[in-house]
Amino acid sequence: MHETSLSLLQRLRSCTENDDWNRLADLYAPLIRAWLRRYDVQDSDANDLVQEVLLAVSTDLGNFQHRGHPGAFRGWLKSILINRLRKFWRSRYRRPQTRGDSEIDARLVQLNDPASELSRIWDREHDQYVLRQLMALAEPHFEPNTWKAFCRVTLDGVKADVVAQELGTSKNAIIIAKHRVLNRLRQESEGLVESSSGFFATS
Amino acid sequence: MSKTTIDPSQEKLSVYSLGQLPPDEASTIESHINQCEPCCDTITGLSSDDTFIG
Repeated sequence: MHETSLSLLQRLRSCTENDDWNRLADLYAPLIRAWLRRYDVQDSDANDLVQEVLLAVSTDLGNFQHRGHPGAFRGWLKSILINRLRKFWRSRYRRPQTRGDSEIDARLVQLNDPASELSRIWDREHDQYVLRQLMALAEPHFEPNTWKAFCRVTLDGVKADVVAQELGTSKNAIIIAKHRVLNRLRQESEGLVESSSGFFATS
Repeated sequence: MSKTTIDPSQEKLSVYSLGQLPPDEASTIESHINQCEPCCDTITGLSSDDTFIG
């Protein structure tokens, strides 16, 4: 994982390091592909559309304004996805065989509405998915016991003193381990995952 | 084990526990709680509605 104090989003906006762009593409391509499938895009077309969405993100990221609004990035990404899907289906002579194009349009309108159930699903899946991916990227950068302590306390909900006994260490060490991983994840995901938007808040 | 620093406030410990402190402050608190059982107890007793991981 990158060793600066900047989040992935901040790094992408401040420079154009290939590693960071590749990480963004690796991070988001599966999520975008999964949502394309929900809108009846076949696998043969999905790769090109995924690239189009990611290219639009890289081209327009400099103009993206987060403004501290919770979920600003995922909402922005969703709007790019919707635009590409609309263009895709409008440009296609053939329509999905099992669903009419008006039904696709109706579901795109739903997804575009921040208050819709479909939008809430997008928000939830986006945050859970991005966090899972960032955790997978972060794990190799921690000692195995540090990572295990974090998982047991934060994901499994086991009390720190119990985990300390399991790992043969002090409760203090477990609390510190949990903090180090959590801090790294919050930092890396700042601006991407809604509930991390308070990073560096001290009040 | 001896303590050489004043206990941070509960609020500060809470923010630390959520991984939301800047590195310099986090490092100071980390040094403190490494040798302070009462502050560890305070942290483990905190409740949170944090949804970051969940």
